[in-house]
Amino acid sequence: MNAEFKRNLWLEISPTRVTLMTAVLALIFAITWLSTSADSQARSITDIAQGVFGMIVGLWGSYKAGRSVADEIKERTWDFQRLSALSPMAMTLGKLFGATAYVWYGGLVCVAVYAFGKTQLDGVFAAAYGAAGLIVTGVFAHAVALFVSLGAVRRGRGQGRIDSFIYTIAGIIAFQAAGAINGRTFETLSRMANPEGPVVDTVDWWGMVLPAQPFAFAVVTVLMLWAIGTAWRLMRVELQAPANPLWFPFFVLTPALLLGGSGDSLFDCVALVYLTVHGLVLLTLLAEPKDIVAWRALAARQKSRDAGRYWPASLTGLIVSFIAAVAVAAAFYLTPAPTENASALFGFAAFAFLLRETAIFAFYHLGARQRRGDFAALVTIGLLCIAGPAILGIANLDQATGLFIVDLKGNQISHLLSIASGLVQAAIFGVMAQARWKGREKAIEATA
Amino acid sequence: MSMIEVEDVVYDYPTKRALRGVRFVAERGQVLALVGPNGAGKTTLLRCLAALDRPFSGRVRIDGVDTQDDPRRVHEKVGYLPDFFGLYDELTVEQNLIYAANARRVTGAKAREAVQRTAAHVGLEDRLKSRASELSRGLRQRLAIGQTIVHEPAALLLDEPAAGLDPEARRSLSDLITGLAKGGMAIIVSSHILAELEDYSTAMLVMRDGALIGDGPVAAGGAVRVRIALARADQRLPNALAAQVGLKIETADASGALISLDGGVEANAALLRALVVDNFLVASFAEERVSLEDAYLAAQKTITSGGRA
Repeated sequence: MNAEFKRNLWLEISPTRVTLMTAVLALIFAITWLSTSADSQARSITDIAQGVFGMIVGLWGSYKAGRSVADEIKERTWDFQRLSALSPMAMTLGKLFGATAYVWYGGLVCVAVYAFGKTQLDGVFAAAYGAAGLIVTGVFAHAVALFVSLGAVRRGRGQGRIDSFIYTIAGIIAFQAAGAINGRTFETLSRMANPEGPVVDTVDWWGMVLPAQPFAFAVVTVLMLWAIGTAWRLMRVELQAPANPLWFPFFVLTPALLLGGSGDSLFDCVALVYLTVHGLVLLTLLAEPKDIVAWRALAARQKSRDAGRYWPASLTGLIVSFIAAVAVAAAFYLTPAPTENASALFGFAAFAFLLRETAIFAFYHLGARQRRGDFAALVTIGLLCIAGPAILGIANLDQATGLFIVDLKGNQISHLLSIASGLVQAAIFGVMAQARWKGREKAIEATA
Repeated sequence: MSMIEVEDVVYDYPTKRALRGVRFVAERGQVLALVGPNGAGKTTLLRCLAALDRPFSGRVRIDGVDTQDDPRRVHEKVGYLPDFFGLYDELTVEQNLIYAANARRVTGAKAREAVQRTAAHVGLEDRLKSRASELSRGLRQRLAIGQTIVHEPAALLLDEPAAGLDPEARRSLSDLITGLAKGGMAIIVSSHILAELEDYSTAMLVMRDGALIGDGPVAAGGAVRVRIALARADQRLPNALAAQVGLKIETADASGALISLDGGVEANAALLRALVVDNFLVASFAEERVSLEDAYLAAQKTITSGGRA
């Protein structure tokens, strides 16, 4: 058995705790069953089981999964775990399912009760589908909470109450989002179970017409695997395992391709892919630790085979974004009738501003107050994206807002303006960042 | 092949250089005392040796495995006890050790055997069913060390292992470290309290401002010196001692001297006879053990008089 999972079982599962959980859940379901009329008992118990599952697995489970690494750091056992021979995947799964073992005991009791009620309402097939959906949703939420907490750990944070709140919220958001996607499954399954009901609805995804309920289930399952994969990748970094350069494209492209498929045309689909990639790269830029020591090590190892260990994910993100921008241009010419005012340069315009944001983050993180670098960068980007266009608006120069932000519905001229402006701003911040870089280099060399 | 090889390791923090070209080797069975003032870089060095942190430049090899090329394999080969460590308080001693063994790929019957052996090694065989939270500080320290050695690592790195221990616990820690070294482990023990390293260290690494003083390990004390005191001052003494072969003068004046000489008791006897024959009024001629503190202070003197190594 996975050593980490076994250790968590020792800590989480005891006869007393199992008895307590069983008794509390039995009481809740008994009261529900006995307090409703016979014709609505199945519906009530299904709803209550789903609700209690959300409380236990969605809320408590996200908290537990998010704390699984943070508590090791707080209790000073993390270095010992980092030195273990457990593989990053074994550690990830051991924490994901071990730290939440007690939660899952309660959750699976709820799933069983849900399946019992659902079988009476809509049949065995619908019950099995719904139960599987609940489990996948729960694992997805926990994996999101775990990878958000691992991201915080990389930034040297993760142990405070606010951090715990953030992981839990991240898990709950993931739980709700996956639940909403799966909601279509439940709704449709009801119709399937009832031959008199409406025809099974469908989803148009990348031009393919797919049955909605399996598609929704597949989407949540893919997202679950994506979240586990992301947690695993961050665990690899923590355990000093070699970095796989293919991870970041997987991280940004999985949700981008899932979301992008919902566009009306090929151009819209690819533009959605670009925007998702752009958003995730920005998020990575914000969340990733901006470590000048790692940057210096990268600069010193440019041609070395272990340079990848120091390579920031956001730089890989820039490459993926550029490729996505090229794809947008290609989709523009391949789409018979793109949206009105669509432009082949849209992706490049957005990419130019992504370069600017990267240079802004680099500039502030090379400053003397590195800890406030993220805040200062966000304020600057906010000023450029909000105050700049606002001032132009007051001056009746709305058509020039492309100087600061990319116009999603802009034409080629607007996007050309954005490309030029974005690149100039990126160059300005880049030059200033380089000056600070040299200053920091000199300061460190002075202590050598 | 040395068990621990460190070549020109440089480690940077964002605003300062923490390690400056550290270089040394440690052999099997050697216990190196890593000493130096707070902030000298001892913990940073140990973390680099354990492949928990990556140096900016330089190389560290543990049992031939490079920490930068294959840190996970290095993790299998080292045991590292940080200065502030934690235990799973709600688990029993046995569960803590089983987990430590399983997490280091020691499983099944081998794990049970390793747990029994380790518990006996650290003197916890009668506490296996006790929860970690029920142990005294000294016993917790033993359990933590047990966790780091349960997989029989090639190299053991201990950061301030005796901090807060009572004299009895320090003595048993000393016995444990000596025993492990006899078994072939290369051990590095960091501390800024020299007295606790006295009993078991075979050599010493002195750190200051992120650099090692001297060219790698220096003698860690235990050497014998002779202190000579004259009943009546005699100006001839320094020259008379300087004329002797196989003798190193540390201090010498008309009233006495502190010397170290090769050859053991016979050399001592020969020197004493020579002094008496030369009509020196020898009041005392006593052997004196060079303490770790003496060796440390002598190493410190090297940098104040001759610059940094």
